[in-house]
Amino acid sequence: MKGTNMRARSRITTYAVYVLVIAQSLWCITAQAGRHAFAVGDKMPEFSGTNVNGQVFTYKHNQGKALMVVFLSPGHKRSAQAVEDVEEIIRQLGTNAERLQIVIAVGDSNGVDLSSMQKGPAKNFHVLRDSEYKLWGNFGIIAVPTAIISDTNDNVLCIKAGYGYDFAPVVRAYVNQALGLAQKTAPEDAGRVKTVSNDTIEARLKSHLQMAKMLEEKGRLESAIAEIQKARELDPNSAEAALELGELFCRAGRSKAAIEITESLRVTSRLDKARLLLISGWAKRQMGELDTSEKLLLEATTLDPKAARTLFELGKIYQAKQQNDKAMETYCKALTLIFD
Amino acid sequence: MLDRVYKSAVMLICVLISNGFAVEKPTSLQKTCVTEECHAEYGKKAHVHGPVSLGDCTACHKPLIPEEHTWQFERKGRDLCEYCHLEQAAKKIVHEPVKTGDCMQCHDPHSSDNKFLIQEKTIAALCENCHKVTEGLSFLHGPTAVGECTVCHESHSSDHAGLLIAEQAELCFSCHVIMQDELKEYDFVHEPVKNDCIGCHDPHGASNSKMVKNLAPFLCYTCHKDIQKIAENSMYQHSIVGDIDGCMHCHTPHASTVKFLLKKDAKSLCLTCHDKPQKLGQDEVLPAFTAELEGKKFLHGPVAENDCSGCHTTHGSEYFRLLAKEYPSQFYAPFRKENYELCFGCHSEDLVLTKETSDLTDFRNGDLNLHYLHVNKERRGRTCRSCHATHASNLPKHIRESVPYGTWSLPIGFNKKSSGGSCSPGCHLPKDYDRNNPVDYSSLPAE
Repeated sequence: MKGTNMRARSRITTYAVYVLVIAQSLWCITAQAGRHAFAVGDKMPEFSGTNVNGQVFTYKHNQGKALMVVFLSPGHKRSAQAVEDVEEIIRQLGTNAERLQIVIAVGDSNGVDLSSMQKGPAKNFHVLRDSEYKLWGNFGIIAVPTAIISDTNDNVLCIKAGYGYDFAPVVRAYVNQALGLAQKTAPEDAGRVKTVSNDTIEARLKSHLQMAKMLEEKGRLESAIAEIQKARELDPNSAEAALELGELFCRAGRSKAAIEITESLRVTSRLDKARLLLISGWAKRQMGELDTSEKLLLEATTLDPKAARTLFELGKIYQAKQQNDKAMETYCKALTLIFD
Repeated sequence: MLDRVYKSAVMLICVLISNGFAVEKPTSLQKTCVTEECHAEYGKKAHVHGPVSLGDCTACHKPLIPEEHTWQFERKGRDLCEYCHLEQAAKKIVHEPVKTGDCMQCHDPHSSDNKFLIQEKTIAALCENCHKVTEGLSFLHGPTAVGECTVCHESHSSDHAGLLIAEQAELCFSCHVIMQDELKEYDFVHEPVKNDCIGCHDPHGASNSKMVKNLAPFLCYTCHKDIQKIAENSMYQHSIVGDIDGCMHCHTPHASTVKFLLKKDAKSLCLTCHDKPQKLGQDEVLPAFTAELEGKKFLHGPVAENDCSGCHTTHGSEYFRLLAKEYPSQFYAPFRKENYELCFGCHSEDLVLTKETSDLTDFRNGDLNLHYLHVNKERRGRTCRSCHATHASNLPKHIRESVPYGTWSLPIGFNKKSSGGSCSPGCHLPKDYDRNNPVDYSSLPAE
């Protein structure tokens, strides 16, 4: 029994030593991480420093303000470029910049021109002299420029080291996030490169449609039709191109071709359905099928009561049927839609 | 003699016959000139000028001597047409024939088979009589290709240069709508795209695809003369820059979400070529950059940020390996600040100039700055590459795993510790360093 107790005590002592060793090592790691480095998601280190006017600036947690700290080196080209970008970002923030604390940490403030930033909308702008690299050491900075951004809960959102092609979009995106401003691109995607692609099928199709519209306005119906046909070659499934072509065929008096378009087309949206009915009705009127045409156009006006052309075509049917009062009334409605 | 008499007789008969068939010109004023007998063709074409169709020839013509059927114009010069067509020359820039009143250069004043009474079958054919803008061109602009010059140009007068129907950029965007919409989303837009599309594109057509006036780099050099100077005169040239369309390998011509109008992130762009070894000269081969990075845990900052331009210039350089600034190419070099401009572009020069520091670097024994100790030497100063792999390594701070010594590779044996580290390289005896409890080196034997 005594032996068992001794063994148990010995075990407890051994576990206690293990726990102490583990705790000690954990403390060391934490201390190491806290002293010289932090990562995205960590708390921004609290710090204080003297600004260029000799006043002390202190950053403490729980103030509810977003913070951007930018480490710069005077005379460095990349630091100067970073300053330009930061200036532009602050300018674009407008009055929102007042909710952002901006700290520029420089060894020597003489080499970097910060005058326009100080005159700008940001009232919380502080240039700290860090000639002995205390802040540099506290933040674990290796290279300049380095921008660190934290949100209103003091959590680090971004550490952008070095000045590269994506400095401006990345810093802007994280500043917006820190301030809770809406933006189209998620901050983590801000550095992803996208370019204008005007040679996509969509872009080329749109150009052909647009040119067709201009040609149509100039009365060049056959040229306009040729343009739309080019658009349809690019995307045979484009409902917009098919509907434009159908209308142009009607305008050019090619009712049979217009009907062929309507027969091969399937549309889903209410307005597209209305346009399809208009084309069918318009073509049928040209073919002398007045009753069918009237029915189609009436259905079209129900789906899109604001289509002047549908009313105009309907008026023409009433006129052809000698229903002059109805024709006049429908023409008037069409004109009202155009001029109102 | 008999022959002459015969000929005269024949001539006399012909004259008599022709007089018998000819319509006599009226010698007094008529109600209209377009009748079955006279000027009938004016009324028979598809498009007839208004006064002609009304038979009101006196709108434009007035009799001079009615008995002799001679006429003069009702008004002189451009007033003749402008009397009715009031607004045609009202804008700032007036088409030359309109200015000189030579409307008939383009229009038939009586009738035509073509719309707007134009003299040719199409607008393009009409314009081409004077403006031969498409001759020999392989790539035509859409409106030019279909002969619709008036999609972009006014025929008579305009408030915009070149008789354009709108200001240049506005005009281009009236068809290229997607481009205009997309541009709003981009922060980095090529300057000419904003208002000078014809800076790069010929609006009628060109011998090059996309109607560009010339191929890159020559087209680009028309504005970017500074780049041309670097590309052509640098001691170290980047071969792709001078290639036909070389600029387009890296840059997009219209807009990008990032600076320098890059097409992709800088590293991906470089890797389109440097993913395989590149022959530099007769005997030198640059190893594949991907091989240097493969499986490596610790990357140099610019590499980690996908930005090779942190250290390299892309168009040409005065420094080896297209480096952006001066950096010694050797393993040992006497320390001079100017020799390290490349590294000091991002890292503080105080890192090597300061003997003692408590914050500037982690590579210190107590406050003794070991960067200073290694690099800042009159003779045989270690260059950065002595300890750091330039691009990547498997050791923290991208410390290299070995150093070259002749044909040998001597392991560095770097070991990072919580408050310092140790090295056992071929360069010196194994040594520790500790920021909190400095190691006493005085007891070690002199090297």
